[in-house]
Amino acid sequence: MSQAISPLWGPSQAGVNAGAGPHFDVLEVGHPDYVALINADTAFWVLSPRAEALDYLLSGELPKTYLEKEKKLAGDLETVRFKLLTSAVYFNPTERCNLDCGYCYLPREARRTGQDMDPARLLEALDKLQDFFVSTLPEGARPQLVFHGSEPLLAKDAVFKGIEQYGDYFRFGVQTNTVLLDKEAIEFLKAHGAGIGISLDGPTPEVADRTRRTWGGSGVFAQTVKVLEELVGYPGLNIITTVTKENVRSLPELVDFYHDRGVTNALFNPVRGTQLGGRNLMPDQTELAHYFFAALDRTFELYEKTGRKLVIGNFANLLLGLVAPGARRLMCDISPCGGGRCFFAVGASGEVAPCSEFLGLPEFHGGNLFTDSIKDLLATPAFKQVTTRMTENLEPCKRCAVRHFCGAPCPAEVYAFNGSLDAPAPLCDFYAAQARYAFKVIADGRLDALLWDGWKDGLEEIVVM
Amino acid sequence: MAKDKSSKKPISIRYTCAPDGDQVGLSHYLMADAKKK
Repeated sequence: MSQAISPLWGPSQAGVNAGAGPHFDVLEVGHPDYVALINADTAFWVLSPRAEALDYLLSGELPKTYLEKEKKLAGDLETVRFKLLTSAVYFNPTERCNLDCGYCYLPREARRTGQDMDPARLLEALDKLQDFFVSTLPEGARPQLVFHGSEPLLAKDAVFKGIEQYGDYFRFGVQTNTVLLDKEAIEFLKAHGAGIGISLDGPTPEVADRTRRTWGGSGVFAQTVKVLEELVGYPGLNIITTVTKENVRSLPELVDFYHDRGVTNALFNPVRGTQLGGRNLMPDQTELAHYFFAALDRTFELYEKTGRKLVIGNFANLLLGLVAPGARRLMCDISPCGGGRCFFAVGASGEVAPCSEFLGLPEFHGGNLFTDSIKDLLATPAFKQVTTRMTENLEPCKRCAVRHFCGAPCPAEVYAFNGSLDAPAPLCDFYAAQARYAFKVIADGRLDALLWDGWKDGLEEIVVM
Repeated sequence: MAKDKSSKKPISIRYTCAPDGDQVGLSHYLMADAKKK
């Protein structure tokens, strides 16, 4: 007499976590009703009712429906990780800076006494960059070129000549400390549709001036706020707050400060420890998580109260990484990171590095813009070290459920800490906490409130469950 | 944390972005677009 054969002894495709079946991790997200079930390889996730998570995993329904969409999910992630074209440049037209911020990623001596790129040289560089992008991007594409620093407005004549001459091709931006951003300069940049990024580290001079000071030690809070108030409403305004141990406790208050002034978009970037100054200013990770999430909670409270959003761009980008990985804009929290593949950086002597963070690390320079082919530069071993760094090859990232929502940033910082790229993020605990918080935001129904309006435009939904 | 059987529905949100060859991926120094394409 024959007996029914147990499905446990059958093909494994429909069962989880063995053989060819899909693998799902269970992640606590700090929500009373939900836990996350995550397939780390495709960055697919389901928030399951807490009490039913085992049923979802073991009933066969989740693995079956997942496998039907697996190829599409994997392809989407594959595209954003490996198939994007290089389409942006961070361009330092001078080594010098009129400030001496404690955490700058560029060496101090170069910022004090370094050289500028003269206008003719800068135009030559833009010409070469344009030739490269015309040959590599689809017709009509407009690459982004961000004048960055040091302080790019110390080379204002060259920068503005470049914007005038190449403004129809590049989408330009200028990231500035505002000291030299007078009314005339603002009008020029607005007239040319250039993005204007400004840096502010706190809601009061007592906080902001701790890290952003002139060489003589004076703060620039008042000047920065004056410029900020002149620029509010300009669609190209972007504000960067570098989060350090000196200002981390002020983040919720800073949200109110920005919101009160009508700011709609800001970045709260944890400081990179690539250079010693930054390393010494890194906040404690637990404290960073606490105040960073408190600041995000505050943006939600203000949105509910006023109907006006203040989007914290780096967190919004992480949310996009969860719900639409291919639509993310920032490429620090995915691996390989965007350095050397989505963008690269050009220093004031024409040296080319995968990212601005690597400009102070000559061993990662691929060559020189004026003497080498850009295509060849991007393929050098120096660049390949960065563009092939993948979390699935790192310990402990290869076992981490949120490795594609983190990316183990930043390789420059990791190298500075370890002398190698094969290590996790120095802020690993913070990034894991941030992923948990992001899932909690979704479980709480706050996704749209913390993302840019229109984030779904042009996207196609994949329905798995 | 609640342990009882929940009436909550599972949540899964995922969208794809068709690659158009013109996506700009930036570093943590994001620049907003003043002038759209």
